[in-house]
Amino acid sequence: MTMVPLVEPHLEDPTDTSLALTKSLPAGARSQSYGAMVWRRFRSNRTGMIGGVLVLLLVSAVIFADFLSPYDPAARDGSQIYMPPQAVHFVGASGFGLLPFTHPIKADVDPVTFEPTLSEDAVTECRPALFGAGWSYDLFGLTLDRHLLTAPEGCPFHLLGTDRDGRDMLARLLQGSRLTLFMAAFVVGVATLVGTVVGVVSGYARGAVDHWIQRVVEFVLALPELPFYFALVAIIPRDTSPLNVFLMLAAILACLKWAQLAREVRGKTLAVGGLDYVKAAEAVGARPSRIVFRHVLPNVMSQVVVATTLMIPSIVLLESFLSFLGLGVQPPLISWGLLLNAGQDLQTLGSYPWVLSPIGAILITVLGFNMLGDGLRDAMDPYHS
Amino acid sequence: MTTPSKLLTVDNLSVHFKRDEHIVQAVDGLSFAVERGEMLAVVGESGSGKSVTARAIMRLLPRTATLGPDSRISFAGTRIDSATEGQMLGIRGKHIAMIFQEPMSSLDPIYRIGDQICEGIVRHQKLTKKQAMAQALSRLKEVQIPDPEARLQQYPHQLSGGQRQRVMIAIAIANNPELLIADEPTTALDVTVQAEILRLIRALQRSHNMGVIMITHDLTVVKRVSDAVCVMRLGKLRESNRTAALFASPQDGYTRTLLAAEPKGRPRPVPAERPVVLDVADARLDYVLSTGGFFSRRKGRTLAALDGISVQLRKGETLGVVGESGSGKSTLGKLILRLLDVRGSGSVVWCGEHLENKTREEMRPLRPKLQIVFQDPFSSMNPRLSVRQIVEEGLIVNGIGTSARDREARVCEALSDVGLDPNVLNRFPHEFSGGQRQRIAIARAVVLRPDFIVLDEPTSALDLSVQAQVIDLLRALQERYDLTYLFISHDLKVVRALCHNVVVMNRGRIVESGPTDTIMDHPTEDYTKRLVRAAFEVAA
Repeated sequence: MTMVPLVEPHLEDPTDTSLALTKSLPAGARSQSYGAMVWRRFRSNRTGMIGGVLVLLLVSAVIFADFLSPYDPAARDGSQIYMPPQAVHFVGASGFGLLPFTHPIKADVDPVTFEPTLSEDAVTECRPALFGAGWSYDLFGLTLDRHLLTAPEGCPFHLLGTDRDGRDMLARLLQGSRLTLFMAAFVVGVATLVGTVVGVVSGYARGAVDHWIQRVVEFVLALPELPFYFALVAIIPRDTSPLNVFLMLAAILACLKWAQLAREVRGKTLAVGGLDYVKAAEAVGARPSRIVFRHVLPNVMSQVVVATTLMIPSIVLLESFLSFLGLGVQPPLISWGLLLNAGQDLQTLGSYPWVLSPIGAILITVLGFNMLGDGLRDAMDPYHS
Repeated sequence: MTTPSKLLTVDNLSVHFKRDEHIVQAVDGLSFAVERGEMLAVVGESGSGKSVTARAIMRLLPRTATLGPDSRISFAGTRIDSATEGQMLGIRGKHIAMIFQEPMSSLDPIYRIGDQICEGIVRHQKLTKKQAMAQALSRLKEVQIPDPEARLQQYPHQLSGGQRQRVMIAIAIANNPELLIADEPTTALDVTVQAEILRLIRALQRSHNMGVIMITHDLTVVKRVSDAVCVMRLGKLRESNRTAALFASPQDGYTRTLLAAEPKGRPRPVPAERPVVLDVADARLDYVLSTGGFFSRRKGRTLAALDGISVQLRKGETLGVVGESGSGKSTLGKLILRLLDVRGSGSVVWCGEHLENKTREEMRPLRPKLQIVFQDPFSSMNPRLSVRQIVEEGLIVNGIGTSARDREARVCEALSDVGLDPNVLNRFPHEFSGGQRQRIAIARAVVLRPDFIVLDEPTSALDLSVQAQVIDLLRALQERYDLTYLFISHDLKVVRALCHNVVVMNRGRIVESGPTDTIMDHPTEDYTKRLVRAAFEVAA
């Protein structure tokens, strides 16, 4: 693609003998800081904004998972095993209401073929209570028992159906988002920190330090990931509590994921370090620490932010994959991968497809973060439009 | 409207771009015409819309660009602004050809020169590969490239910048186009090569009876080769006339400013009894080109970037370091300030103090006295910092100034020293033009009250009119603060206006040195003679 030379926004007027700048800037124009400029550019990017909204919704779903769940995700109900999702109604016998309700589903077994036939009991209306009292949970150190919609006693309200123990899928999906996204946040957080530090040190120091750090990075990158996870999970003792298994898995992932970022950051640091403004800072007598923190790091951060948002979906996918194989999160903890683990056999898939609903959640997460990351990348490089 | 004799008529051309939320009018109501065998120069500074015009004619504008409703471009009597892409494919390369500014990136590095010339020939003429190759060879001979037979088999990286530009020209004229558009064809080249390329384009234009549109910001180029001139500014046509008439009696105010913008004046002489403050003796620096890799036992090749350089500067004096790209002049400046990662040999003495063996720590106390201004005002400022932060940094790290308020006062003083309104303190670099940025860069150096400033091509990225302003500014600052300059440049006109003494460098060695006027008026070495001729001679 050919680049048309940029048209400079404020040209000097060579006929203007007074050299003051004020003339060439539009009156009343306010200076935009870098942050404001990024935000302005990001706002005009529709895809990025959609991604941002999706991510915001996800994060609030994670924080308020308990409040949003109509059921206790661990509560079993023997009468509601493998119930399909119930349709949501607003218009009932008493006319239109803002609160949704469902009709219970009855399963009748065909006496000849034993095939279950499902039918909606259109007379009974299962109306949940708005902000009703239910099972108690902790939020920000407070013990609460109110929920957005509390399921009515003895009348099923399963918007996404139930699993083989009659547990509400919606509640489990919301609960599972916590571990999955917490894992992603933890792994990405650690990997970003380590990767940025290693990358900046390597790229700024150059020479022998850079050479040896890069050999270590290459070693980590060369490890065959999948067999490595298997082996590492295998050495975790059998009697470790599920929470510890989860933390160890997160630690293992963090140990392996920093290397790629370190590479990227090193490349960017090399590029920024070669720019004149870094030399200029050195020429006025700035110490290396100041140069790194004031000149190199802020200009490398755009790369880091983008890499981070794009790494989150990959960790979400990896977690689901490992948990699906039974290597990751162990019951009674809940994660999206573990929920998918229930849909492993063909019979379940054929008869109860709604147990695959975590796929939808994963899809939305991955899409949301990718869209946000792309939007941020476009917005953060103001000189490469 | 068009008379058939005109080769190309551009009528009321308007182009606007959509960028973010606002619309940028790049070209606004431009009209001109080119006849066969005529060279029209389109002159303007950056942002004047001259390159956009060229691309609009070739229909190579990006998608964000829109042509105005009254715009009309006619080529040989046919309108081409509304031609389909398929029709344009038949016109581009065959009837209208283009040469770009950057010979490094406009050739494809993975194909041989011969194949790249043949591509266009085979595309537009029904010839076999062999016939096309024969034609390619004759084109290469025509552009006077040395050893044309061997060039056919070579790759672009084996050619110098000037040779690559010759190949680009060979590709452009391969199909005998009627119109050649040359977009700043000499800007990226060294001065001596520039003159040769211009002479070549002029000769080809005459022998092929082509119309040529020469897009340039360089008035010397215009004066040398063109028949007619269009002066553009901010997308509008300011003046158009025959070249001789325009230079003899410019009508438009802007044209007059441009013509008057050639660097003028001489530096104020420095008395001989002033002390020598900087003494560089026998500076040498070898760059290791390839280390041969981690497992290789091969010894790395080295290149002598500086090969025994000795220079002396008196207090208040400006020494010009002149040379073409790769001559080692920038390396010399950075070596003196110890801004290179590698250490050379030889001695650098600043006011009796040896700099060559100092560590980074030991250099730090000396930094405020020894400053530098870089060539590219776009990469020399951190885009995240405001003007105040950029200029203030040196004060903070050196502990100059008693309080934040005192520092702000010093920053404001430095800004007004360089002719900027102190109100710009909280603005960011991207809001300024190149010349204004260069002023900020000078303010960053001046705020520390230095004794010595290395000026590393501070004017070569700037427009001509802005160049002259910056040179006046540098001269004024030198007098006010008794500064000593090392002025690195390839532009002899600028050097003449600013420097007391000159050293001419080539391939890491000093070719010739002495007082500026002596060197410029009576050069003794061949290399210097060529440089001077390329810079000051007008006739092609």
